[in-house]
Amino acid sequence: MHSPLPFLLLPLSVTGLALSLATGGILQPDWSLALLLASLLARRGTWMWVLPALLLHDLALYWTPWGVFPLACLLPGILMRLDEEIGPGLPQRFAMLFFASLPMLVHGAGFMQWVLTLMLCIPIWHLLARIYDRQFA
Amino acid sequence: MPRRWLGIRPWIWLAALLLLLFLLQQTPLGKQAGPRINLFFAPLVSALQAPAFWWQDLSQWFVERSHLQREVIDLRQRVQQQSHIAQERFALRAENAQLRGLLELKGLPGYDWHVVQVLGRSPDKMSQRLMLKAQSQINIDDAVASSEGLVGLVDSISGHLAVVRTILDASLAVPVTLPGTGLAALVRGQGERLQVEFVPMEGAPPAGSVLVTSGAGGMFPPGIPVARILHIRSVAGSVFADVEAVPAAHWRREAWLSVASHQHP
Repeated sequence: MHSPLPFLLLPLSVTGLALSLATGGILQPDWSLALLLASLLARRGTWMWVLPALLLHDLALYWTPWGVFPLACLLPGILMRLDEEIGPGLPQRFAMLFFASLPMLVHGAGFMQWVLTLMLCIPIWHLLARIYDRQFA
Repeated sequence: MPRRWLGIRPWIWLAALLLLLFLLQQTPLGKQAGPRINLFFAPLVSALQAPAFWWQDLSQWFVERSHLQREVIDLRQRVQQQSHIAQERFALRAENAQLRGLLELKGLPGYDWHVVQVLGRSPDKMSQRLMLKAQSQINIDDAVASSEGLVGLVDSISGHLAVVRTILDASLAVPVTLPGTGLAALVRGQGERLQVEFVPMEGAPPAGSVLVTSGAGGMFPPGIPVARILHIRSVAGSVFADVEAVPAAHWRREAWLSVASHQHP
């Protein structure tokens, strides 16, 4: 790993997962999912640690691997292809964010919880993208 | 390697991964992965909740004396009411034993009830899974109930920590009846609602009726409220009605629940 960020983001994601389990009765974003999707969108190369963490997220919260994980597996490949075809840009990333987070709704999360997760994910994504840009500039 | 193979290689990897996941989920280990991971997270969940408990304990110091006095009077009244109910229950139990003796029926198997603390909930809208912390020994497949009704079944255990599958989970089916009738139906989870199966259209209970556990199968103690009927619809070509219900218990805010363990001889 070239960046020290995963060593910070992974424990944060695990803490987010525990926070979701600890305060399950309250309307709140999916902390862990927002952080992991933001990491993946900020830099495609993070898939090596983001995808196993997403599998853990799905198993812990939904008790099945068929949650966000299978769609997130497609995300780096599709983004790479789209970046080659139409050039790197935000629209395809936003579309992928909506696409990958949709299984939340299938697994019992309410619409507001989904919206809160997206609202948390977008600023984290932009913050991480800026940090990665500085690191790799 | 031919160039055309390079294009489909990621898809082959993806298909292999999805196949691996599918096979993993079919194994007993894969089926228990979710509850096991939940139990693994329990110490961290407990640590995250600790500040809230500390705050709760600390805030007790700032409660006004008059408020505490009112609370004590209220609790004393409730204790009086409860003791009347307990006396009535003992009298009814004795009467029930006599009547059973007259009918030469065997008594229903006994249960030990334990109070357990709710440690965590799954973050879905209806909290389909719960994490419990028990002071006494509980077992897999013990029934879990709140003061309002049946909550679910203990799925897995690690020490004094347990994961509960609630009745909203599709894998659970609870035999139910309507008190005073011969109805024998099954309540099955559907994520956010409950489906009541095998309710004949003729003689179907009206909307608003509360179905209770029948005790059939011996898994759940009899007489615990399970579901309140919402809608009853007839299905063309079927003798059974399509019945939708909601759980009688509201476990999303409960801090304490009861676990019914089978009494072992």
